[in-house]
Amino acid sequence: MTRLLAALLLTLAPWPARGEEPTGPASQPVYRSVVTTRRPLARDRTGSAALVDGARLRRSPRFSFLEALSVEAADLFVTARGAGIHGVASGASGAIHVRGLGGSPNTQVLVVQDGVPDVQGIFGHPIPDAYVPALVDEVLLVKGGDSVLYGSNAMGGVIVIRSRWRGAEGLTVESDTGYGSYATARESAVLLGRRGGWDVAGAVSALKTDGHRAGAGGSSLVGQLAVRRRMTGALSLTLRNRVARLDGADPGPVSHPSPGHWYRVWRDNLSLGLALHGARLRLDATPYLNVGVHRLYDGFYSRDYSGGVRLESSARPLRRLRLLLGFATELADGLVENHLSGEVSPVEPLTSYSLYGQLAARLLDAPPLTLILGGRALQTSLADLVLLYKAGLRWDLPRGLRLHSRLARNVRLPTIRELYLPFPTANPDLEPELALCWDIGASFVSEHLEVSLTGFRTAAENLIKYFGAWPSAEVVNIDRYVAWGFEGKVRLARLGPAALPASLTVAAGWQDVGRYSRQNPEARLSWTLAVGRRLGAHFFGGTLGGEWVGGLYMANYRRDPLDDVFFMDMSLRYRYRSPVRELSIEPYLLLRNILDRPYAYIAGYAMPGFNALLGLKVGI
Amino acid sequence: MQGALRLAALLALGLAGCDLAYPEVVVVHRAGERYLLRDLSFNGCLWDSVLADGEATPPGLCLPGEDRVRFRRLDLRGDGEALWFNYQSAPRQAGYGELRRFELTLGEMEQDFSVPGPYGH
Repeated sequence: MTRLLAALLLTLAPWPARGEEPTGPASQPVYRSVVTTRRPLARDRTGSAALVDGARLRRSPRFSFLEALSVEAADLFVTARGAGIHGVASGASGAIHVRGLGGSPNTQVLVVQDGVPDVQGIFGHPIPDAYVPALVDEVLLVKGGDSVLYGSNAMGGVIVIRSRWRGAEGLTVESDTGYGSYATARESAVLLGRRGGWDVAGAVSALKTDGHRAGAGGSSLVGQLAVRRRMTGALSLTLRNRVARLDGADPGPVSHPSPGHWYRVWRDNLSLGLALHGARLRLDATPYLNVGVHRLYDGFYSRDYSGGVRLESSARPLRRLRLLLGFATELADGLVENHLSGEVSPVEPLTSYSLYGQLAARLLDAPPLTLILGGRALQTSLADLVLLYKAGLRWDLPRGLRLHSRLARNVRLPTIRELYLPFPTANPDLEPELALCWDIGASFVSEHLEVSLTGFRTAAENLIKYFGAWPSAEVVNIDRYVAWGFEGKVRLARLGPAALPASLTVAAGWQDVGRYSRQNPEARLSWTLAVGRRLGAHFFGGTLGGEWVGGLYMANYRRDPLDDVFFMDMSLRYRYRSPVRELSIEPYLLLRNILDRPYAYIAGYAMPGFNALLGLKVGI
Repeated sequence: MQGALRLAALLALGLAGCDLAYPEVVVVHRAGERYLLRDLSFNGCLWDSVLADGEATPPGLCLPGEDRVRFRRLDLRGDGEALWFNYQSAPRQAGYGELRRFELTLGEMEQDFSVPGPYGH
């Protein structure tokens, strides 16, 4: 879905120019319009996906970016353990599950930020605390993965994040300050600017909390800066850097606390983007580097590197065809040692090269019927050539009805940890994981009602699983695994009286994940009732939302069941936007777990009871 | 009016820190001079002190709810190497705003085999 970003410039340009006499038919005025649009995040719209506006995530009462995102899709399940800190290593939460895949660590769900895959070089996962909504423009959740377009790890799903730019000349400064329960303080400062051919976008987000119990506290500091030079109308160069510093601990289960199990993480993501976006041809080149240092209380120390280059072109050779071709190469390496014992764990770098392509063909114009075909050849330093493919259909019928179906063969390469590191064991002979993800769905959109329903089936092979415990633990590829289910969403808009319009959004899903039930819940329901009223420059609004999760187990084979998760959150806001200046003031109050219900996503890691956060947003 | 006042009080408490309303828990060693206790914990609280008979932990703000007091016990009259074994008490309750003194007696102590494995990676 293409949305207008900043400007719709409609220029009435009489032709010919003043002073020249028109002759013949040319005397009719010619209207020239220039439309500036954001490039759609979705490059394949035949699968099921959720597009979430960054402002919606910033307003969410949920603790973290990933938890806020999980409200938008019932088949996206994210674990949590406290008031905003997910952490790393043992006891970490922020595990992302999509349609039976994913989990801890998140190596089967890929996060792509501004075209760059965000992968920790040794453990192969993203860092959940490094994502903050301050600078997020839009997020696309691609369910069922898409390794043809995104490569390894895009197996169960892809979270595609696009950062904000200012759309028009000028400067925007935003600040969001909050303080609440457990001595939780947070601050986000954003700077967006555009002048001539230059754009700048920067943000600093800081969070510090004592946590709701000993050891559950911590802090995160994330800074992002991007500078873009638009050299011509079509050519641009972007330099982007994100630094994240995390401090915290694994508090341990409440029955066996371990607040001294601390961690310290520092990460830096640097990328350069060269883009040539013409009317018929788009070229993108994106080299990137992701570096991190992790330290743990037990002496663990690692420095990891992952980097690569992505070259991509997208062209429209014929009116009904769009062809995308790409080349990607990636390298992951690192150093792992124990500072207590002095032991160094030898690792070998992982490299991969791939060629990929996608063809989108418009089979019918009215109503539009689109076919997508794609393939990727992936050569790695570990295994033989891996061939991936996908095929999808999307039919946009009249009156807001849409049908879609897609089949995709996705991959995840083993990580350095799984291949070489004794945590608790390793296996250098591991093969890549493969998954065949299929979904079929329908949706309907009207002025007051949006409905979508999708059925899915995930068939995976060669999944990498750990069995047993040290010293007899093993990590091996297992045979076949199938998960299937349904997910849907209903949104009722403009409910209630005109004086107090409201909307209700309900997302629900059910799945059968077979024997691999570890934190792959059977059913999930989330809902948000939003009410708001604008009176001139003033806006009053609030939300009441909640989540229910059923069929949650701590272990496979449906062992160690957890009580159903159920809680409700609430938010209240007032916003004043100056009609004459670019000034907005927005005090807000977030009330979480308003029913003070005990619940936990992870056994023994009780979530906070009722808690509150009072904040103030200011924009100039 | 009363409802509004309650809501305001709840909000003030929430912002000041919900943990201020957590139950205050003290654990007292009443198992006899023969034993030392250490690493006592209850519902998220952990005391790293070593208790002799009659001694108590400092007050701790623990999560409300039910849990057992868990600790390691050393038998001073035991033969051979001094070994600390994991023990636990009978289940105890603590609610918001309460002050609870849990006295550990020998009769209710049982060995604790519930040490959880690591979660995550």
